Amino acid sequence: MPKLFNATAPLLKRLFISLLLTLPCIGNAQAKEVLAVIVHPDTTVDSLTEEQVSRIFRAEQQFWPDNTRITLLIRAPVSQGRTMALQRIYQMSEQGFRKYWISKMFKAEVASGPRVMYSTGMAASLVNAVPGAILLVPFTNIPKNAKVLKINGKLPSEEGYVYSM
Amino acid sequence: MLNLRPLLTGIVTTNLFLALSASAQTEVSEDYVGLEYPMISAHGFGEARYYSEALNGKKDVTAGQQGLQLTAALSDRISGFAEFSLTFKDSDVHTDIERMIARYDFSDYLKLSLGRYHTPIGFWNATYHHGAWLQTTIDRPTLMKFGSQIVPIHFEGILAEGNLPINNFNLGYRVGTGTGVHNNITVNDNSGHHGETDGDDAFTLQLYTRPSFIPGLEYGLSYYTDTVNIESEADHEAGHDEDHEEEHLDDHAEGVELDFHNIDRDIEEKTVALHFALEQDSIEIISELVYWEHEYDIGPKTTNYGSGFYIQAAHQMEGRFEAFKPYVRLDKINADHDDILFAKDQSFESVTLGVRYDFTHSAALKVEYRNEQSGDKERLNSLVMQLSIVLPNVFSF
Repeated sequence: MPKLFNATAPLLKRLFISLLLTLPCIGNAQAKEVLAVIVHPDTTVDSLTEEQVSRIFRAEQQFWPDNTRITLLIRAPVSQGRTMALQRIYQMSEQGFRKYWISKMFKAEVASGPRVMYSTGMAASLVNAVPGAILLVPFTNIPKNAKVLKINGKLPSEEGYVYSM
Repeated sequence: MLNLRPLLTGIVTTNLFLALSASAQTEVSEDYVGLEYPMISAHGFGEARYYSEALNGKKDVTAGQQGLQLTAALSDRISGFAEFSLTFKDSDVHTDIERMIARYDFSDYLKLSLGRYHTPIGFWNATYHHGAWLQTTIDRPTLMKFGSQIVPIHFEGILAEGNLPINNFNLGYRVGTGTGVHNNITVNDNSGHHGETDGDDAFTLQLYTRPSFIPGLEYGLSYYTDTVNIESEADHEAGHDEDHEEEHLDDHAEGVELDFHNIDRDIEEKTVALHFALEQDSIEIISELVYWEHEYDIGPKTTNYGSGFYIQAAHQMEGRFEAFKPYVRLDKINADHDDILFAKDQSFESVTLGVRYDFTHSAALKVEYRNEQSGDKERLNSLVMQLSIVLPNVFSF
């Protein structure tokens, strides 16, 4: 038994050190979970506050300042962008989110709910094509040529960005 | 003043959905599936219930009320809403147009619409109404109950509404004028709906806030005034208990030379309401307070005052019981027994205890115990079960 321990000890030691070295990387990976707010390139807004984002995605605000209708786009269930949006922006469960929009339409406060995007490619294509469109995407999935908004004055790449998880 | 019923039935009903196809030809802006106009969606709401009354052993199983809501965005500015109901009561089926609204959105600050609405008084009346699945409990609060005699459930006319984001408080308003559709005066026609009597100069104003910093919170103030025509007071009073009719007439006629019983008089109606609603995933607290004043427009000054409130609290459980949502509601209405507007005594109090079980995303089973007393009647204990469903939008959220 002691022989076996002696033989494996260096290996276990190396494994332990490797794990310790890896931990900060795992921490960084988690810190990289950042939600970006992207809009149609012609949108006249460059920056929003956290409260404005909440108001827009809850359809309390339905027009941009230039009076263009806001079109809400959201990724399909289970996607990372959707999960992050529900947690951080809506603060609702999937069921709560669904009920919220059925209720919103039932009250005749909106004529349609958010449009569901089934792939990153579809989302990227539509947010650039539909005037007034707005979409929440993970920072790592920001499409090319997308217009990324500052939230509370900061871009997703900057320290202290509000939608970092 | 504004009698828009012929306009609604003759023009809106017919043309609203015919306009869909015409608009489709002119308003298409994006060639993407699901993003081109018109965008039409439909939601169906259904229920079935079992009722058991402890006092006299009465039991009943009924299909209750089924609703269909159609929503059409005709362009980025023009939209239409329609809601129809099918009510099963005893062996009768009653159909009704609950809402029919055509709206033009100028901006967030101003949206102008025309049609038939659920009167924006308080919270419940315009929030849940015929969507049994949407509401946590089986029934509405008694203030807004089926064929309510207190809150004018429907309103036909013109409505302006909008939002003003002031310091993240999200102030909202709704102001309208038209015809108040009362279900108060004539007695129940056994179809589930009371006969309707119209007020001819209804005015409604609601101010509310939905603060961004507390998601799910709304509180506000509503004011409603109307002049209700009573074509025949004799018909109105036929709804009162005979025991109180003679006393009622004596009170009204006391010291008056004219016999106002045989003269058509109007009733000035004023209603003020406060509401508070917090709807979040785990907690729900809804409360409304309604105060009213009813007064004859001519003749001896007869004024009735009354008030009512309810408070409802619910908690969505967690972990393995997350599909369960226990709730409690207290209802209380203080009304004059011989209120000049009501066909019968509206005094009421009740305690409701229940649990909602969402066994799928689109269906819920609710079980309720109720202890309630209407007017001078004997207190009732009852058990009610309801299966409520939503047939979701053709689009997936």
